[in-house]
Amino acid sequence: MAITVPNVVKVTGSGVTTVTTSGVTTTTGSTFTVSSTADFGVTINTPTDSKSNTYGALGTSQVDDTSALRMSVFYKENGTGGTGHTATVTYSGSTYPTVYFSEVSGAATASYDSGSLAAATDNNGSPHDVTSGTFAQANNAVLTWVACDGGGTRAYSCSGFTVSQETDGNNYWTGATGYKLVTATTAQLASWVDSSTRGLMKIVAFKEAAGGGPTTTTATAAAGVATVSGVGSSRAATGGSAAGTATVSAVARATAVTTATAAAGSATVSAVGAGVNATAATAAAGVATVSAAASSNAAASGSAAGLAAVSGAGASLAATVATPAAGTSVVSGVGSTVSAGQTDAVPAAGSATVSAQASSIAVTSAVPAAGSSTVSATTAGGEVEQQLSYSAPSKRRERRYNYDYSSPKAPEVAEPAKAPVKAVRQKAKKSIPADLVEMLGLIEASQSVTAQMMAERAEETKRIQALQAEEDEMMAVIACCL
Amino acid sequence: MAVFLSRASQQYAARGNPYTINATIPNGVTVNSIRVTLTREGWPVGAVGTVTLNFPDGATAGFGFDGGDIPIKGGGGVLAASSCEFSRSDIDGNPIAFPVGSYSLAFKVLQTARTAVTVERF
Repeated sequence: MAITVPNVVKVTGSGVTTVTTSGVTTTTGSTFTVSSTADFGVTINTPTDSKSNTYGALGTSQVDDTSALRMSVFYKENGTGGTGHTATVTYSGSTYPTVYFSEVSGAATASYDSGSLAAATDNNGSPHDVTSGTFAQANNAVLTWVACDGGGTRAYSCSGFTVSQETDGNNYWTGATGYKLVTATTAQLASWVDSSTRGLMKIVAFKEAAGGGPTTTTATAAAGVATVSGVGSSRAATGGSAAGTATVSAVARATAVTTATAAAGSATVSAVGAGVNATAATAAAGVATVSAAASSNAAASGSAAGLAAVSGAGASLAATVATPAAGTSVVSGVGSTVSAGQTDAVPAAGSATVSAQASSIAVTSAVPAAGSSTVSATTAGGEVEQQLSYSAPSKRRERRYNYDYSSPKAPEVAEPAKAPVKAVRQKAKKSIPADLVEMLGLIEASQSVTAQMMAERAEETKRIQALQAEEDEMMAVIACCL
Repeated sequence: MAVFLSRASQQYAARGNPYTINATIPNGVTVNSIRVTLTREGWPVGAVGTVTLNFPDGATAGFGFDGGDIPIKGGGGVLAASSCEFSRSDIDGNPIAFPVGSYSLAFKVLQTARTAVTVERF
């Protein structure tokens, strides 16, 4: 199991002598840390927990230079976990603490990297920096803590670290904790940003258990199947190439999945997790798929002679371009504030689909040179708000647009080829009572059809005018002959 | 923020068994943090009591407090209420919601004291 920090539990107190965190389910074998802020003059006693773990101090208790603030951090390697796991901190007097109880799972039995521990005290304002020592091994979870003396509303950040913070400086000695997962022995800087003048900082690395994460990056097979997979944190699964099937997948956060190349067959790049970028899947033939499911993901491009699919599920996704030389391309996005198919699905031939399911949707174009295309917008509940199908014409005048507003759950794409405007208006009359939004959609679609009809009418008028001109010429010739 | 448990100020006599107050968070409500507040109304010096919040899933959390006049954080006055706020977050730093259902607050009184109890959810 790859090392990670699955739980961070916070408790704050105002005028208290002891606090117990809320319960959380933890794993036996994990490393646990407990940190606390308090008044300078109050002793922070060694914490206890509901699983009878014995904690040790992580360095010394720190105080600021104005004798106002104190911070202590404790840890337990290879601890006992389970359900309802709580930590309790007691104090020598009434105080205003912020306590963090964190679990580091996937850690080595002896996870504490003593050479990495560093502490700093700063009275020069933000940023409040602390730099670790170099690490004993490459794969680690790096944890850092900060406590500041400011009142009012605080706001902590620490670049590169996932942060939990307490912002109420009026009622508590605020502080924050952050972690990051690393795969190199390089020393790490925790640069805490907060407007306070004084800060107490600490940083340390906990080692990942041996074999905790995937190390394979490249798989190459002349034929058959090549698979590269990574499940864990901070892993990069890079290249897989095969004449048959190439698959590169990663399930983690902070993972970058790059390239899967198959000379033939299928290539798949998939990423599941936060902060994951799945970039390119290229198959000379067959199927290329790029998918990302998480928040803040970007699924970029997929190209194949056969099928290219780019999909993203999560908030703030951008699913961009799927371009097969032939076959089918799909761009889809599921989540809130999604712009899926805000760009294009453009196959040279075959079919193209752009779909989005979200509260705020922008779906634009799917235009194949031949074959068919579908653009659909679907509500979060799965109801089809609008669907437009387009059949590429064999001749210009045979172009047909088909609309379906009748059944959200079972949209029918095909409509009679005759009198499409009349069909749309008849359906609109039946559907108007549904709701205002649907009515607006109908109006908008009708306007689109009207515009199309006007364009066709203009073309027809031109053609008639041309025929009339020819007729006039003929009449002139006849007149001359007579 | 919403108050889901409130008891007006009253005197609690010291006793071995804790006083128990029950409240329910209904289905469909997301609770990312819970704060328990006790007004400090002339509490006697020394340990006054402890509060244990029992969650619907069997988990617990709590805090303890002393009496007497204690300065507010950073000085400048006497603290009017003791409080404690609980929350938790996942691997990405996002809040982990507390379960809905029946909560109970066990208030163990070591010295007779007057207080009002408020439990808020956020």
